[in-house]
Amino acid sequence: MYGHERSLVQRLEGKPFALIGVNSDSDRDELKRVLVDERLTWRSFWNGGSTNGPISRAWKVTGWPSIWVIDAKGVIRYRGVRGPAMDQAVDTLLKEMGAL
Amino acid sequence: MAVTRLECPECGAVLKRAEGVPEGRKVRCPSCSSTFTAAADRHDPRDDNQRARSRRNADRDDDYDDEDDRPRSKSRGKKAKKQNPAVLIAVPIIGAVGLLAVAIALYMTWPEKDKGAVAVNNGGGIPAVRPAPAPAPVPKGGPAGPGNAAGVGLEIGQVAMEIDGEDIDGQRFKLSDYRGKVVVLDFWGHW
Repeated sequence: MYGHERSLVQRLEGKPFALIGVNSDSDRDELKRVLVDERLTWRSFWNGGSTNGPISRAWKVTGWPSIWVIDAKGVIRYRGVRGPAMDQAVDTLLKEMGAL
Repeated sequence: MAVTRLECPECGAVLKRAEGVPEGRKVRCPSCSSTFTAAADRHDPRDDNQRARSRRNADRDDDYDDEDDRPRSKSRGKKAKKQNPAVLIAVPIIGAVGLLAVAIALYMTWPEKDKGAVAVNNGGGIPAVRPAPAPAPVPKGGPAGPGNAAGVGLEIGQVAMEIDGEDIDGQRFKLSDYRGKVVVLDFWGHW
């Protein structure tokens, strides 16, 4: 289920890259078990236990998952890229800064 | 023979005297001020029944306000007929104008507040999961340039809106902590 994200993180280990989640689950303890079971190593913001939490509201996210790719200067460069398109977007930005 | 019930031949007002008035005595009608002679009323034999029937009117008769009552009730009726249509028209109009004024006032104040809130959010909106004691300012930089509110937001090409929150373990961190790295921001849930 999280295979693609996991492989992306593993592939770019040591590069100026980070996968950051915004998690909207309701049960924190249950989520901690999922992180262990699924070997999810990346950090996630806690969205207040709801898909209607403060972060997703501020970002006007209404559909899940929602992927945003942000460059090293903090500028939003891509939205809604998934699968191979997400890898490609990240690679493009890393090449742009000479890190790939 | 004492007369307990007198009827004024002039105006028809009925006067009652429990103690009775000697027959033949001149009586001045308190209603129309005409003077007449007390005479055995033809209703006298049925006085008891009459009294019972007109008990409700007894007070009025004794108080001599018969005259007052009639014109007052007449004028009341006339006034009511004249006033009611005007009141019926004026009250809804005044009410409607008042409601309209309130609606306009609300319409003019609410959108301004909303605009203000959005402007603040765009300028340095820091969505925090918990209120931060001293929210850090949004780090400036990027092509939009510092101080340009339009440069921060959610559109492609804009500096990403800051996220100042906590992780699953309750540890506080910010999206801008990752400045200098390419970031994939993934809104997700295990469902």
